[in-house]
Amino acid sequence: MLGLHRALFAAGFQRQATYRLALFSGLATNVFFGVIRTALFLALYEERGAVGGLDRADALTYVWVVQALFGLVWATWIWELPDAVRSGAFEAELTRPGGILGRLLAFDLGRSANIAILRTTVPLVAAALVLHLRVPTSVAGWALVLASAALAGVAGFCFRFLIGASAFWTSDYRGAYSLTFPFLWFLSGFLIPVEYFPGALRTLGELGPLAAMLTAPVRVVTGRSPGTAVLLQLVWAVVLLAACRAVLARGERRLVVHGG
Amino acid sequence: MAVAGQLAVAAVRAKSLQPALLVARTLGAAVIIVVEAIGVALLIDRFGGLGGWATGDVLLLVGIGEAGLGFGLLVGDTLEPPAFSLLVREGRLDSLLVRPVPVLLSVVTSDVQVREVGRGAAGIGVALWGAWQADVDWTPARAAVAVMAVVCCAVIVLAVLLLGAASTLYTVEGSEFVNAFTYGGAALAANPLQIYSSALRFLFLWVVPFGLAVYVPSLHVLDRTGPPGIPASLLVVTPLATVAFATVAGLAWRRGVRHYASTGS
Repeated sequence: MLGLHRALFAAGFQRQATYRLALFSGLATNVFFGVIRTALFLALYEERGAVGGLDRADALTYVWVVQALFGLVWATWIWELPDAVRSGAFEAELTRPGGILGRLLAFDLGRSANIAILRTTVPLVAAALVLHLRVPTSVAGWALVLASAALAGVAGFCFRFLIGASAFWTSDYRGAYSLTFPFLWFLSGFLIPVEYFPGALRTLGELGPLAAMLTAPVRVVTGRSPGTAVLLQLVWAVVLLAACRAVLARGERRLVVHGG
Repeated sequence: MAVAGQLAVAAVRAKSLQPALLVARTLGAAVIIVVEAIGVALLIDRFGGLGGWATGDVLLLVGIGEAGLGFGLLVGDTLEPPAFSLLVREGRLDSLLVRPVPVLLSVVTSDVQVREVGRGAAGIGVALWGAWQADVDWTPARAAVAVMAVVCCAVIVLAVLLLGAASTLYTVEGSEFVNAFTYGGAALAANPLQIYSSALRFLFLWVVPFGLAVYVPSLHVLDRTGPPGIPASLLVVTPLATVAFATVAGLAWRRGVRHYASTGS
């Protein structure tokens, strides 16, 4: 089983390697947005201490982790699954060996790993050279960052899968996406750090399932109880994968009834 | 012009065949702007101001920028890198070239993204919300300046998309980097320009003039004089710079179309 997943991981990695122009233009876009957001937070923190438990270095690190992770957790190939379901191409998946979810995840993580090599490291390293960021200084700290990034990839896959799975029930999956994405984006902390949210919203952002995509990784990078953050991600990854499995089981039944 | 109208109506009618999808996507486009505005309000309230500007002032910028982006994309969405690149690669552009209608008109009317009306309307709503918080006294002159800001911003968005499409005619593969100047331009214009370094200010005032289209008119609406180097009196330059930028984009497009010799597929 593991051999199969390893092969799919490698295939996903290879597949993504062909999109070189997309990689570089994505990178340039990330850096550009990072620069704008940096200016914003530098202005906000002028002559100010910590806000919501984040000081200036934390906030700037947040800015660049967002740019480093967005392309990874919210990958551009989000539409491939629902399109395959809609066109009927997904049926071929039913005839292949092994669990569907595991295969899709392995392939997806392979593609993400390819992106991660340049698209997550370049912005972070470049920013760390110019700005005062808060990053780990020990090998153990960086090991946790790696684990956290991988788990963020799994969580990102799950959320994309769950939205895409709406294609099993409706041909309007893009409608489901348009209506859910704003809330996902906001509560995950892609717009502003969840630490600035008031009361219960902050708790939801810090501990809820969406924390696994960005908020927890930022905690790991900036070293705010990183072990707990990775553990939280692990728990949510397990829960999310179980949810995906349940949704897929229902979706498959639905698909067979309709004949693709 | 009548032909353009008919083509656009046909494209819009195609969208209305799936009303539930259209409503969901239009609503989604509006919701994302509202959510963004709420985020900006939360952030600036938390810090008590941004570069000397209060929450309402900044929301006015966000609203004008997003409204311009929404109306720009409503017309120019087919010029976005992924869509236009596909048009070229699949050879569909060739069939548009032989039509007795200007190519650009054929391209932009081949698919009209009605959902962007949601973004545009929500942008106007956010701008009004910000103006209300900032106690703007809506004289006819200020209202006219705000409308001009939205129009100029939309034209600049279109021009950026056109430049991107013109480059796609050479490279075939579309570049996502265009997004840095459309969505990025709106994102940049959403902050008061005084927080940026002189290089970024220069870029977005005098190269891709989003700052002239959003920030400078907002100075007038908010009755502010503007920081050193960006006086409110630059307003007279706004329409001129917009027209100049659009002209450059138009010329680049014409060159691109002349250069284009099919993808051979």
